[in-house]
Amino acid sequence: MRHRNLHRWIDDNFKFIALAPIILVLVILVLMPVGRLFSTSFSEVKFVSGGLLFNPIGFENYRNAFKDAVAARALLNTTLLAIISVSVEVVIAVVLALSVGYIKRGNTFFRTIFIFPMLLPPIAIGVMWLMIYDFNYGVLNSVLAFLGMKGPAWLASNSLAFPSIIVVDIWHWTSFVFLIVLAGVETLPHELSESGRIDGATEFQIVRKIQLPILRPIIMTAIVTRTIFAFKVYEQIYLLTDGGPGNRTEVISSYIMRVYFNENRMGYASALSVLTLIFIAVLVFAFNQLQKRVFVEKGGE
Amino acid sequence: MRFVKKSMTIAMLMLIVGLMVFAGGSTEQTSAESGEKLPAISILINESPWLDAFRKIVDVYEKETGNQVEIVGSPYSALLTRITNTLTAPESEFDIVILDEVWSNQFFDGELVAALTDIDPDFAFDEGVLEYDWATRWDHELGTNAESGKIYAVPINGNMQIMYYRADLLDEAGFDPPQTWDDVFEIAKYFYDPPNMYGMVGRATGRPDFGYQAIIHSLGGYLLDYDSTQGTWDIGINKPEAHEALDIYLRLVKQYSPDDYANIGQAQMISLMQSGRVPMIYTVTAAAPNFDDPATSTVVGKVRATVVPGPRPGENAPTTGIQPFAIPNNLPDARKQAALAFLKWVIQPDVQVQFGKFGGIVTRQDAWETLSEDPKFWWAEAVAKSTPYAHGQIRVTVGGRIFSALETLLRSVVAGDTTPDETLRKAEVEIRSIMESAGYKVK
Amino acid sequence: MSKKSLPKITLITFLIFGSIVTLLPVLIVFRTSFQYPRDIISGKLFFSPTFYNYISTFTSYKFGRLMINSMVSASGTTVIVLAVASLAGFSLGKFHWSKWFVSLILAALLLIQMLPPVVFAGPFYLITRQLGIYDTPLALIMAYLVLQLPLSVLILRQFAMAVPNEILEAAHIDGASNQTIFSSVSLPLMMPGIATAGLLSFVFSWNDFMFAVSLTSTTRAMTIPVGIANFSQDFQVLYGNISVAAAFAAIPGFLMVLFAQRYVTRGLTIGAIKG
Repeated sequence: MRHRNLHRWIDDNFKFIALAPIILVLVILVLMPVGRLFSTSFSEVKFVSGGLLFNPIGFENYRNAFKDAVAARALLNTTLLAIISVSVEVVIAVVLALSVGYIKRGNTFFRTIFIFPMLLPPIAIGVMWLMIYDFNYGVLNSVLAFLGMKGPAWLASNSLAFPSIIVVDIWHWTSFVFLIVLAGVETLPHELSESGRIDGATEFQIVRKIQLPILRPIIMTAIVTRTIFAFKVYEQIYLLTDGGPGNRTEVISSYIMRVYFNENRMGYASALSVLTLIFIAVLVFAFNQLQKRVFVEKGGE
Repeated sequence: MRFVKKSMTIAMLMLIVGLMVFAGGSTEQTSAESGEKLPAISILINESPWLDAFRKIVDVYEKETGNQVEIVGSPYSALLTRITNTLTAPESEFDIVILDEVWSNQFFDGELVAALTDIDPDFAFDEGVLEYDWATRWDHELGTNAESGKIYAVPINGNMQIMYYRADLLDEAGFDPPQTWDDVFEIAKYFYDPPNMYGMVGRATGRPDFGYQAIIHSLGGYLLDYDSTQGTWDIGINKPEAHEALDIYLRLVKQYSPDDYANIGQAQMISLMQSGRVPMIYTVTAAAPNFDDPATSTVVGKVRATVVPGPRPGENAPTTGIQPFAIPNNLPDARKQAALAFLKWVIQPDVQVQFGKFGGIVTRQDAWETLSEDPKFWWAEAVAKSTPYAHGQIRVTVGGRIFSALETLLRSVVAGDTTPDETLRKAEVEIRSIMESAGYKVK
Repeated sequence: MSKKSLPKITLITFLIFGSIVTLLPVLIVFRTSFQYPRDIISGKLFFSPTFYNYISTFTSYKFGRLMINSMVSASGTTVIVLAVASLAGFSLGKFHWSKWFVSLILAALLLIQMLPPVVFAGPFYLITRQLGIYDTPLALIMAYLVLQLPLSVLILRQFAMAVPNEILEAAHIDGASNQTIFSSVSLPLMMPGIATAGLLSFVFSWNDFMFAVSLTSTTRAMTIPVGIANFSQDFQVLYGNISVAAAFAAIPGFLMVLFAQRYVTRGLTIGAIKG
C-alpha cells in the first residue's frame, strides 16, 4: 500500500523531483562561492594568521582593471584565439563527423582516433607540441635541418608564436566538437536522407538541406560551450610560450592565475574574473541572437 | 535497459568501495605526549632536484631522535597558494612550510608565521649561519628586513647565483673564467657559431628580473633602497646604472643566443648548457648537479663554476634566491615546539655538511668551505667565495607584485615592443604605484 | 554506381589523412617517452631507446597510486553527474516549465561554466577542510560536480528534447509512470548523449589540475595531472617523465572511448527500430 503511494507520489511530482538534485547542487556548492566572488571583487583581501580579512574598497579593483594594459591584451588575445579556432574547429569537426557517420566499415576506428586528442591532459599536450615546435630540439626543425633548411623559432618569434598556439588549440579541441556533433549525427533519422536520395538529390544537397538543419541545435551547443572553454585555456600555453614573446600569447585565464597565485591579489583577481564573465556572457548572447537571425531568415527548419 | 541499470549499480558499488578504502579524515595531529618523543610533524616543500637530499637528511633526523617527520611535496607553481591556504585556515595543515625570498616578507609582516623567539625565547642563529642580507628577519618598526628584526624563518636552501662555464672549452681556447661582463662578451663572441654553438644566453622569461638583478647590483644600482633615517624608499630602476644594466642585459639575452631567446627561462638555459650548446650561463647553485647527471647531461664533468661577473673584478653581486623554513602561527604550541626542534637540528654544522654531501644547497659558510675541499662538489668553492657579495632580492612585502610588473616590462623590451628607455620609465611609475598603494613612503 | 563509390574513396582518403594529422603528435610523445633525457634535448632524429623514464616515473614518483586516485575520482564524478544531469535534462526538456524559469536555469548553468575555476578553489579548500574530506577523492568529486554538471545538463537536455514525444505518449497511455517512462523509454533513446556527456565528464575530471592541486596534498588522493606538474620543475622540465605520464594518462580515456562507442551505436539501431 505504502509502496504504491510512494510510486504514485514520484509519478505525480516527477517533474520537480528530477530537477531537485541539480537545484540542490547549484544552491549548496555554487551560490556561496559565486556570492563570495562578487563580494571579494569589491574588497581588498589581507592575509592574517588563521583567516582572511576583507576590506571593502568599492569599485577600485574594477577601475584598476580598466587601466590594466596586460589584462586588455590578454582578453583580446583570448577572444581572437576563440573566434579563429572555434570557427575552424567547427567546420573540420562537422565534416569529419558527417564523413565518419557515412562510412559503415572502419567507423569505430576513425571515431576513436578523432576523439583522442581531447583525452590527453593539457600539460601533456603542451609538452607534445613543445617536442614539435622547439627551436633547438623540436622535431619540426630537426626534420627541416635534415632537409638542409633552417627552421624558425615557432614559439618565440614575434610573428609565429600566436599562429603556432592556434594550431595547437585546433588540434586539441576539434576532437571535443567532433564528439558532440558525432552524437548528433548518430541520431540522424535515416528515412529523411533516404527519401532525399530516392528523390534524386545529390549528397551535397542532402547534407545542406536535411542533415545540417537537424544538427543545428547540437552544433550550437558545441559552439557555445567550446567558446566558453576557450576562455579557460591556459596550461598548454603556459608550457609552450608562457605568454610571450612580450604579451602576444598571454591569455586571460593565465593572467588571472598570475594575479591570484603569484601576486596574491584575490580582490583584483575576483574583479577580473567578474569582468571576464560579463564579457563572455555578452559574447555568447550576441552570438545567440546573431545565429537566430541568420537561420530564421534562411528558412529555418 | 537492464544492462544500463546493471552497469550503473556496479559502478556505484565500485565507487563506494573505492571511497571507503581511500577516504578518511584529514591527518589528525597527536597532541604532545609527555615524554621525550615530540609529536610527528609534516613539512611542505616543493618538488625539486634537492628534495631527495632533504629526504635523506630527514631520515637521519628520524633515526637520531626518534621523532617522525612527514614530507609533502608540491609543484612549485602551486606552492604559494598552498602556503596561503594553510596559513589562513583555522589550523594549519603543515608544521613547517618552505617559503621563497620573493614573497616571504608578507608572511613575516602579517605574522602568519611565528617569530622563532616567541616559541623559544633563547633562539638565535650562531655565526656560521648565512643570513643572506637578513632575509629571514623582519623589523616591524622599519618595515623591512634588518638585523634589528625578529627571526621568522631558518634558511634551508641557500640558492645563490654562480657563473657556470665549460672548463674544457675555455681551457682549450685559452680563456680564464670570466670575471667581468666584458670577459663574458669576449668569450661569447669567440664561441658563437650557430646553429651548433651559441655564445651566451640570458633569462628572458619566467622571472627575467632575476638575471637582470645580478647586473644592476654589480653596477652599484638598485631596485629599491631604504633610507632608515627618514623611513623612505628610493626607486632606482630609472637611474643611470639601471639603464646601463639593461643594455648589458639585452646584449646577454640576444646578441649571441639562439633565435628563440625570447622564450629562454631558467630550465631552457640549463638544458642548453646540458646539451653543450652554450659555454656559460649564470644561474642558481641548485642547478649544479644537473650537469653531472649522465641521464640528462652530455657535459658530465666538464662544467665548473666561479663568482658571477661584475663591471670590474671584485665588484660582483650575485643575487640570492633562498628558501627558508618557517613555522605557521596557527598551530598549537606543542607542534610549534616540535617544528622548532627540527629546525634547530638541521642548521647545525655537521648536519649541514651531511646535507650538502647528499646534494643539498646548504646555508652555513663553514659547511660550504668544508664541501669545497671535496672535488666532487666543484661548485662549493664558487659559492663560498660568493657569499660576501650576495645581494638579496627584495626587502618589502610587495615583492610578488613588483616582480610580476618587471616580468611584463622586461619581456616586452626583449621582444622589442618597447624601447629600453620607455621600459625603465614605466618600471619606475609602476613600482612607485605598487609601493604607495601598499603604504610605503617613496621618495 | 560510380556516383556513390567515388565519394566514398575520397572520403576514406580524407579520413586517413585526418587520422595521420591527429596521431602524429601522439606518436612523437611516445617516441619521447623512450628517449634518454639528454637525447631529448639534443634534438637528434635517431636515438637508442630506453625504459629509463618509465622506471623513474613509476618508482620515484608513485605514478601507479596516482592512476588509482584519478580513476576513483573521475568515475565517481561521472556516475553522479550522469544520474543528476539526465534527470535534470529530462525534466527541463520534456515537461512544461515557464520560459523564464528554463532560461534562468540555463543561464545559471552557463554562468558556472564561464567562471574561471580559480573562483571555486579558495571556498572549496575551506569547505573540504571543515567537512574533513580534504585530501580525499570525495573532495575532488564535489568540486568536479560543479564543473561538469552544466555541460552535461545542456547536452542531455538536447537529447531529451530530441526523443519523439509520440513514443512517450504511447508509453503513458499504456499506463507507465513518469519514472518508468524516464528509465525504460527515454534513457535508451538518449544513449548517445549519455555516452558523450559521460565521456566528457570523465575526461575533464581526469585531466583537471587546478582543483586537484588545491584540494589534495599527499598521494592519498593526488591525481595524475598534479603528478605531471611535479615534472615541470624550476630547473628542468622532465619531458621524458611527462611523456610517460601522458601515455598512461591517455589509456583509461582511450578505453572509455571504446566502451562508450557501444552506446553510441546502440542509439543508432534503436532509432532504426522505431516507426
